[in-house]
Amino acid sequence: MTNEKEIQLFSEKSSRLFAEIKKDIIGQSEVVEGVVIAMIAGGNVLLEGVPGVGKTRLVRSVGRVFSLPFSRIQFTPDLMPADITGTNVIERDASGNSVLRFRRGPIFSNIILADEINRATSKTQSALLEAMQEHTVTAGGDTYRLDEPFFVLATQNPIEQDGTYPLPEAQTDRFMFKLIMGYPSDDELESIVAMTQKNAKETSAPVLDGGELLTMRKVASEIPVCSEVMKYAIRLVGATHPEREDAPSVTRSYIRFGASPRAAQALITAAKVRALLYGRFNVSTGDIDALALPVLRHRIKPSFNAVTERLDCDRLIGILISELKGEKPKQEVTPDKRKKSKKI
Amino acid sequence: MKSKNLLRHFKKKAVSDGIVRAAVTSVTVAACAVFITSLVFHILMKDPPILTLLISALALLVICLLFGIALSLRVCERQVAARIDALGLDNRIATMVEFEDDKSFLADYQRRDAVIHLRSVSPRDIKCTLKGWQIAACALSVSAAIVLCLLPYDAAFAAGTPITDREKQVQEIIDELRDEYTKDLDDSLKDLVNDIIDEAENELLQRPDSDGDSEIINSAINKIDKLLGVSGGDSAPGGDNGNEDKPPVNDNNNPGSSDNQNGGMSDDTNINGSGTGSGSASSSNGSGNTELDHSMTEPIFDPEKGTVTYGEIYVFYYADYLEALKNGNIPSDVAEDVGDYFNALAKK
Repeated sequence: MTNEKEIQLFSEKSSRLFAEIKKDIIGQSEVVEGVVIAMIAGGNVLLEGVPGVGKTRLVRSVGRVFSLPFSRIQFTPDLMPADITGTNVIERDASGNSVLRFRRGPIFSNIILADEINRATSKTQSALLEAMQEHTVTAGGDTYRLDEPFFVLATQNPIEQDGTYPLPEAQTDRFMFKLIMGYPSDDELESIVAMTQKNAKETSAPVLDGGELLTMRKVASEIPVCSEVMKYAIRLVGATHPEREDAPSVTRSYIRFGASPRAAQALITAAKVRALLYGRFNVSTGDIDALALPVLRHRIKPSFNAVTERLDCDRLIGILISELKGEKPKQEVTPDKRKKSKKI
Repeated sequence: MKSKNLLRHFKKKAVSDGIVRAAVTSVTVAACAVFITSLVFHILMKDPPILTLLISALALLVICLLFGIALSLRVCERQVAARIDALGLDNRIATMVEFEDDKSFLADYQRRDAVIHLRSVSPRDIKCTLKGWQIAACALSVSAAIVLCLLPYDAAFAAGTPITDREKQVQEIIDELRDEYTKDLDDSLKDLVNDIIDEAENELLQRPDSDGDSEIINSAINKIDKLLGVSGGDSAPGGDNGNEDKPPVNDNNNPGSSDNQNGGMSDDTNINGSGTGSGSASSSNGSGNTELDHSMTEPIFDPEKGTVTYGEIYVFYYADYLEALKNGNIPSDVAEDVGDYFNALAKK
């Protein structure tokens, strides 16, 4: 049962978390917030951004403020699953007999930085599937439980697609959020340059340990969610399914595959954490709207029509939210308009 | 404190708002009903029964209003909470209402937080659910109903073409003529009289104004008088006196004979040569002898219809036939054939 002390701990620790991460990362406040929410909610994060925007630095900084064991795996085309999970090696015991002993791979840590995850083959990428979902590793017929809390923070580069292996849907669905790291603004860039001229080292200090993180997760999980908000989240996820009879016209025209039930779970779980971070003790539809993009953008598959019309997932989700709220989308895209534009 | 008590003032506001909306909706529904009913009456070319319509509309309005008020009174705490949350309370009140009985620490914390935020809003802040389009629809339907009720039916719909005053005037004259002349007539005569009246009606309708109406009407009356005077000569008072003025009929050119029907009508008769008026005609209208027009003895060809009219000739021959029959100048076997002939003509 949650008590006032735990709520206070949540409040204090969360504000200190952001303050410490800010020491290393300038700007990218939405991404930082997303990473923190995912870590408190117990989800994995896929960070996408062009080289040099601070993906790896952010993950390292997060690892430090949480003061948890941290492993970095640089994904390369020749990386093998056993290089991640570990493998059985033959060793001699005290009596001189040869025995098989499981040597743990880098995945046996609390925070995993899977750098450039799309550079490894699908086979190697799949080595993470079990760890990400069940927090276990199976090797040589034995199953090993990973230490809690366990997170995978993966990065990938949206450009330079030669020699890369796009993540399969099963893999992307296991990431709670996909966060896009864009270029910093001029002011932010100025601060970044000024900061790195003096000292390029990360200066963030540990804020909380694994136990405290688990407490924060427990507090967040007890946040009440009213049925109105729950239904809203479910309707939003359902609206991405083109095969449904009541699917919006945008979904039917531009989405090939919709989001899985994991998306609805992730929305509600993350919304609880966000509500607490914003000082509320209930989840609102505003939380769902704010988290819709990172939760849904990697879970929906745009159709060929969307690709040809350069409609990305973010824009489609924005239109769906507007339709659910009964608002007119800022830039309305309907099949009728599409036909008109073709005629022109 | 129970959420029911906390939301009491907000609920009152929601109920009053609902009643206003119900009133507007009821007026709209009643006005629409009046409009549709009036429209049906206009399509059927009847005057709408305004009083009945208004009473029915009032009854409908009251029923709708009562129904709306009942619905407004049934507004639950969750609905009120949703409307308060719309003021920027981020679903706090909805959560408070839903987890009212939850004993957990966080639910309690949430309730306290919701109460604090509830103090920042007032029942007056609750947005009115009555939309602009609803008010516009109400105004439009009421205006339409009033206009349609006040509009005379015949000016609005008359089989697609409005009835003009001229048509109305002609119709009145023709109806009067028909009433006067077709009363107590047998079918064959009635048809003939109606033909004359129809012809007059057509001529009248072709005229844009009433100038010259009297000529057409008098002409029609004359024709009818002639027709009725001749056909009813045997029974009309003074009919016998006109026998001597009646055009002579050649016995040999009996129109009833089958072999010389056409010839008898056009060539062999000497009606045109007699120059005498019809005694029967004068007896019916009391205007004295009427000269037999030359044209009446000849077939009249209508180039538009492509027909030949023997109506006038028929009238005179029929009078002669009756006279001859009365005097016993026609043998009984011939009389029967001639009678059939005239009947056949009359049917035509």
